[in-house]
Amino acid sequence: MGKIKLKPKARKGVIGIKALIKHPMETGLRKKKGKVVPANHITHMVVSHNGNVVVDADIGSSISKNPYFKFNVAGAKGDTIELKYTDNKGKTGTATAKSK
Amino acid sequence: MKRRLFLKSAMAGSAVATAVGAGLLTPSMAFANTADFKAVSDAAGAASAGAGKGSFKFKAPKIAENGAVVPMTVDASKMSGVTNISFYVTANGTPLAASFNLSGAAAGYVSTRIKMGKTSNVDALVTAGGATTKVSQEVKVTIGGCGG
Amino acid sequence: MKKLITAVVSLGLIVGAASATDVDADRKAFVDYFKSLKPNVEFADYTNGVYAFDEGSREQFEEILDGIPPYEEAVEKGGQEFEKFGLGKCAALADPAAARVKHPYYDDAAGTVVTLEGTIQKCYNEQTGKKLGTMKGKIARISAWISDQAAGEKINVKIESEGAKAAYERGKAFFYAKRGQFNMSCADCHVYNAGKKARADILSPALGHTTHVPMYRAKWAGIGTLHRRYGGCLKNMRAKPIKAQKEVYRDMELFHQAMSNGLEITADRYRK
Repeated sequence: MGKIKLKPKARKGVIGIKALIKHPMETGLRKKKGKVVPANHITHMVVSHNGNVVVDADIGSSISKNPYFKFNVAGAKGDTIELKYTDNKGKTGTATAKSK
Repeated sequence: MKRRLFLKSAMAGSAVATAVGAGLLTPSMAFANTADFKAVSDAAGAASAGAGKGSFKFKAPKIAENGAVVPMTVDASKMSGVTNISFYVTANGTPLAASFNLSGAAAGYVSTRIKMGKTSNVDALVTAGGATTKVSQEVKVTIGGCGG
Repeated sequence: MKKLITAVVSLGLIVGAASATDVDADRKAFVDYFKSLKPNVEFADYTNGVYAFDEGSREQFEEILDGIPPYEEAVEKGGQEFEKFGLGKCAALADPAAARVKHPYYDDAAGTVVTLEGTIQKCYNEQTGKKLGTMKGKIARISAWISDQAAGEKINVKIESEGAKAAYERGKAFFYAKRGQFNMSCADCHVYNAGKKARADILSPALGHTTHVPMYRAKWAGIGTLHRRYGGCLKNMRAKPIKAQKEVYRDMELFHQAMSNGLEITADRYRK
């Protein structure tokens, strides 16, 4: 659906992974001008470190719009972090970044 | 079939009902959170009910500046074998905000922002070595005075 | 009550008095007022506005900034748009940092206050032949990017000519005048009751209001200009709406920004 900002940064053997995903995260309960805005939110997200899954998340509609996440993973500068998400409409998003 | 009829009558006249009736929107697309997720939320509720007091750090504001964007962080880095961190907002329609399964090199740490409809207790749940513990905190959510 | 009267007097508000316009005296009175209101808040901290007053919301503010600021992408885009539309070719914007610090100013030749957004609009029109909006989207992104270039520099509004002083006085009168169904002035909330709550919102101090404009508001989930915020406030007071970039707002902006002279411009442009 939207762009992903992925910022992994290594410090003292731990990579702090900050991610900001552009996504409306509509709950399907909101009305705009009398009409219900259909649900449109991320439902599943996977984060990998050098190809290994480290986070496998079930995401609900009450995560804020344009979701932000931070995780910590043991690792070093140069390691590859990948984030993939799927939303309730079946749309997906992916981002990859090398840790600084 | 029954479900579709129920939806039609419950929301008669709305665009959603029309779409559902016409088979253009399936219920899971029309409503917040899928049935699967609701099941995960129920399971989290049960885990929370049986959970002992956690020794990890849970940071959330006492008074949310903005109910749509409430920052929350669980730091269970000192615990070993953390397999799951979940945020359970008891007063929300579907209480489970998200459930993070952690594996491999991941530390027991998650920070995110959550929508809260109203003042509620928030249970931070950490599962490690098969056992779930929790730290709870009330987060007050108020309607603003001036929005602009 | 006595405190209120003293505040009004010390703010140089006696309209109609024969005294000459003294912007810096007004500003000093403004700063002294806030100092007496909140003795523990440092002057420089007013750059962060309401977050200088309240610990709980300050923590959330820092938490949000510590993540990935939600306006980061928009501001970057503003920078790309600045390049794309050749805005650096206009003399007024050739040095973006200087442009931010220079505005708003009174243009004696034109006989009116010029705001940064006004200059951007003019330049954009010269370069593309098209018109820019005044409240959000491109204008807000470009203005935010330009303002970012001046982060760390101090607000330094200059009011020297007779025309400038007259505009300043008009702006000041607007700020202190009661309006709308609620019959309240900007000052009622942002000066006399700054730090107190209006239902669930903590009222921000007017000192420091313009250090972080254009601002990202969580409510807008986007960046908006100062005049967009003015409009919102007037609507809240159930006052007659005024269009962004109208002279009335530009005069007020001149006064509003001048009261924050000496405060640092910041790139931390997140607000509730």
